[in-house]
Amino acid sequence: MAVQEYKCPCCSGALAFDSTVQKMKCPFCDTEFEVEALKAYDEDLNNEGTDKLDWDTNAGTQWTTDEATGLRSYICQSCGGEIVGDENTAATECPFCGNHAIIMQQFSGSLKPDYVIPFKLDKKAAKEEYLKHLQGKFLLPKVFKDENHIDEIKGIYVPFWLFDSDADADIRFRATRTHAWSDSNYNYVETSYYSVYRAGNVAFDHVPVDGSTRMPDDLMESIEPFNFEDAVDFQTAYLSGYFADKYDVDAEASIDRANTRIKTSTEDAFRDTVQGYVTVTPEFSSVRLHDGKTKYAFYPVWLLNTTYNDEKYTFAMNGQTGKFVGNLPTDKGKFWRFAAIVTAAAGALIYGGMWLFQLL
Amino acid sequence: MTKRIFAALFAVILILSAAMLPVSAEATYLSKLDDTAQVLSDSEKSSLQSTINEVSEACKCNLAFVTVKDLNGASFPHNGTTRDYADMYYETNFGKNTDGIVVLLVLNNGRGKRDIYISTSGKCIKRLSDSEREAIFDDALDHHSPDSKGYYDFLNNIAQGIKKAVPPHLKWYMLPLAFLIGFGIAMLILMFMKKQLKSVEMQRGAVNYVRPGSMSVTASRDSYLYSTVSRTARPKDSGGSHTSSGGGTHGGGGRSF
Repeated sequence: MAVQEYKCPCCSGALAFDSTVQKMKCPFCDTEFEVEALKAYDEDLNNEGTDKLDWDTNAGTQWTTDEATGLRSYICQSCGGEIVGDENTAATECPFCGNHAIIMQQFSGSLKPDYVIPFKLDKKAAKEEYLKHLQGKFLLPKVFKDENHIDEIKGIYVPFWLFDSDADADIRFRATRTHAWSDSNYNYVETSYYSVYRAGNVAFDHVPVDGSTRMPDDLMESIEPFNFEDAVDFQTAYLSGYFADKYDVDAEASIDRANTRIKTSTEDAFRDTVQGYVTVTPEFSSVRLHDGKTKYAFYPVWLLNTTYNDEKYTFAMNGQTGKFVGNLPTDKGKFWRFAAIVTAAAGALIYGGMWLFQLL
Repeated sequence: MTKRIFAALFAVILILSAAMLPVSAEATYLSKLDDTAQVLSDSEKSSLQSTINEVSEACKCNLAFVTVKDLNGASFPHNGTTRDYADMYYETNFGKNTDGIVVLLVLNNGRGKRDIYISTSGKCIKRLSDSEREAIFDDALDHHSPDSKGYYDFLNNIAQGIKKAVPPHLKWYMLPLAFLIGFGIAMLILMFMKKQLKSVEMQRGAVNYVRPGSMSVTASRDSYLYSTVSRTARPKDSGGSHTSSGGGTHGGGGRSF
């Protein structure tokens, strides 16, 4: 199987994508290369691959049992070491020499992503954001903050399906207005009921749905939005230095989530055009999608893992915008201590206030 | 953080006790028994006088018990009603809008009946509510009628009723209620702080991906259907205060019997 690795034309060191200069950079001799300039180089390397095809096929046949269990093994182009990944691994690093390896087969044919948003933020930024994420949270256990060791930090290109669609909507609401007045004996409230109808259309671009089962869907949706303006045509060179998986949830299976989100936002958008009422309740809603298009893209995500009290905590940072998310544990002791103190203080204050009110 | 909370708690207690101080400081309150109608014997008079002193002290306000045969021959101007007589008696003896109570017994109100009237002034207007005052009258007239047990028992009973109702007091359930509200506040703050720890959740919609300017409303109709009117009775004003002919503000009420 073909493993892609970008070598520096100057010193043969392994190149990696540098997010700060947005170019390929050799960590050994500091030479920078435009990603576009490496395109031809990329093709040359692909041609070289034909030579090795026989040898690779032989190697592959020896591992049929591993393939059955979902494991794949590749040979590192630099040191000849064996790289073991699963059936979805698309970019990884060699466990022996640390060089970046890109498995070309994962991008062949229809598997080739249409777009990629290159990493804009590096590992240092992810660490900084992690520390910031722990700040100003009173109920976070102090031990968690003080130890604050990160078990693992990885830059991952996550496969996303992008859905474009036009939505036509017919929505009817039941709305009310109230008018209140009073005479000397009674307070009156008049409630007027209206039927409010709205029809129209709205378009959505690049609604992302996580295409990898390994990434929790809620974690991936939490670091949204991604800004599609930075997306470029996919080239494997961008993956160098990062990890990547190919999709294992196909577009058909992802479409439901996109539909739900588009329908919700369409209804919300038309709900917002109903103004001047006290209550607005949807009675009937019909949302029809058309001209739908699906694209396959790799989005940059920093993933951090840490362990606390034998429980694993996963954090994610948007590699483009720096939005950092991840649930944190609660210090139960601190929670109840604080509850007791505030109850005592507020209770005493309120009781004192009651007395004061009596005395004045 | 814990230290800071304790410090804040300590400050709260300090402020509260400071607020209590001027109230508990000794102040002189006047008390008076004026038996013009001569319904009490000398020993009853001195006994009632000491009760009135005690009640005045407990209520931290001025207190006068007055008996008159009728509303004529007052040493101060009034408009001829029992209410104004009591109000003006208070203002003449204790001053306008100071804290205090006058209990007035009129043996002949001009319509062949006796009047018992309680006039309140200053803080006592609020402290003696209408229902508390009516309860005092009920108890005094039903169980301690002057016709069967004499005026001393009648007036003494009213004095005891005032002693129970007027001093600053809170109902027993106010203490647990205060701490329950305190607990509610604590939970509200904690829920807010717990929310800070949770940042992973599914997106509601796709509002970030709406193509700018793509939304157009092609049809929009708001049609009126029908109306309903509901009405609720307004709470009646109660325990209101009035102004005496002398210009002071008073509360209170009375009964004829």
